[in-house]
Parts: sequence; C-alpha cells; structure tokens
Amino acid sequence: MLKTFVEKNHYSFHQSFNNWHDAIYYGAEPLLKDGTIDEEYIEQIIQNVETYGPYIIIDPGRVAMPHSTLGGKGVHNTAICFMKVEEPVVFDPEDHSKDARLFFTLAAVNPDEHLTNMMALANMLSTEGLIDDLLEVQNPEDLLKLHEKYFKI
Amino acid sequence: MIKILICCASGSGTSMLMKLTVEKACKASGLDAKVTHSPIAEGKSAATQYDLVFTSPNFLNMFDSAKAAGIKVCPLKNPLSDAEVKQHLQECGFVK
Repeated sequence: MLKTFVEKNHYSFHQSFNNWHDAIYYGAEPLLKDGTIDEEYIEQIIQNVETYGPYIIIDPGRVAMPHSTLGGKGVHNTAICFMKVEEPVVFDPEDHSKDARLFFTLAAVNPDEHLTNMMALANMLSTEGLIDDLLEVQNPEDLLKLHEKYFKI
Repeated sequence: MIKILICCASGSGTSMLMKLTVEKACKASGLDAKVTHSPIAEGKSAATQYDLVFTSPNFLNMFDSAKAAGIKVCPLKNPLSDAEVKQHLQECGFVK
C-alpha cells in the first residue's frame, strides 16, 4: 500500500494548516488532480465532519481517515491517498485526542476493491511500530523505505 | 452466536474498519459472532435486532432507545484497537 501511494502519486507532505477544512482539502488534492474525485466529494467529506463531528479520527491524536459514502457523488474511482502534516491538525480545540497528523483519504466506487483497500489499510495500520515510523517520513523515498522495512516478503 | 452491529456516518469507512477489528477481536476471544456494519441512519432503527452495538463516541446518544431496550451499546474510541474491543466484550459479559 505504501508503494501504491508513491506509484499512483497519491501522497502529499505539508508543514501545517490554518484549519481542518484546508487539511481535508489538501489531503484529497492528489485524488482531485488525477480525476479520482471531484471537488464535490471533498465538500461532502467536510460537510459530514461539520454534521457529525470528527468521527474520522481512527487513531486518537495521530490518524484521520477522511471519507464519505461508498459510491457517493463526485467519486469516479476507488483509491486511498496519504498525507502527512508536521504540525497536528486540530478538529476540536477542546479535545486533542481529535488531532491528526497522518491522513488517509478514502474514495470508493467499487465495494470489492474498497473492501480490499480497507483490509490492507487496517492491516498496515495495525502493524506494530508503523504509525510511529510514518510520523517521521519526509518524502516519497521514505515511504518506499518503510514499504521495504515492513512489507518486503 | 451473538449478533453485533457497527455504525458510523457513512457505513463504508470507519464502520468497516471497526468491523475488521471487531471480527479479529471476537476470533481471538473465541466468540462466535456475526458482525454487520451500516450507516447510522439505518443502524439506529435496526439496533434492537442485535445483541451488541459498536459506534463512534460521537454517535453514542443516537442509540439511547436501543439502550433503553436492553441492547449493549459501546463507543469505540480507536477503531484499530483489538484491545479496546476485547475490553468492551468483557465488560458486557460476552467473554470472560
């Protein structure tokens, strides 16, 4: 999966964001650029978080998984996009367990592919030590190094 | 066999991740469980047909009526944590 991010150009690295809206936008930007999604999909994700709160935080203080519905409007392909931010993105100023520095933006049209993607993501993120290492990556080469370290058979 | 329902806003991201974690935790605990995931809008009314519900802390209050009907409803802070799921399974009395 780390290798796929690099191969498909589905990654970005940023220093900081003024607000979580920008973070979600830039986390999805590579998917926007290659036509995987439209801006409409990003707006939906932001709207979901506005409505339901930051339920997209999947590892408190560290990892967010921005997404909307499977087969939602403005999604044309199934993919996951990686973003790393140096300074934590704050979703709730009163609750820093809702901060995140690693973003995995989901896009899904095909249920089977999406399930495969999600299983790979769950498997990757539950690999002992991997999230700590991901918090240190600076560039695509580092992602490939981690791929070698953890997933090279 | 127990029936477990997992809900998040969309039914395709967070709840799917939770489903994978819950299945793993049940298997590890030797608990025979059927795990279903759905968007909150559907899950809210279907909850009473299950033994146990897992959802994000944000959505906990949407299951007040299921809780009143005796269904166990647990918030999952970390959808990747088998340990958190196991703890809930123990507290609810599904595993020893």
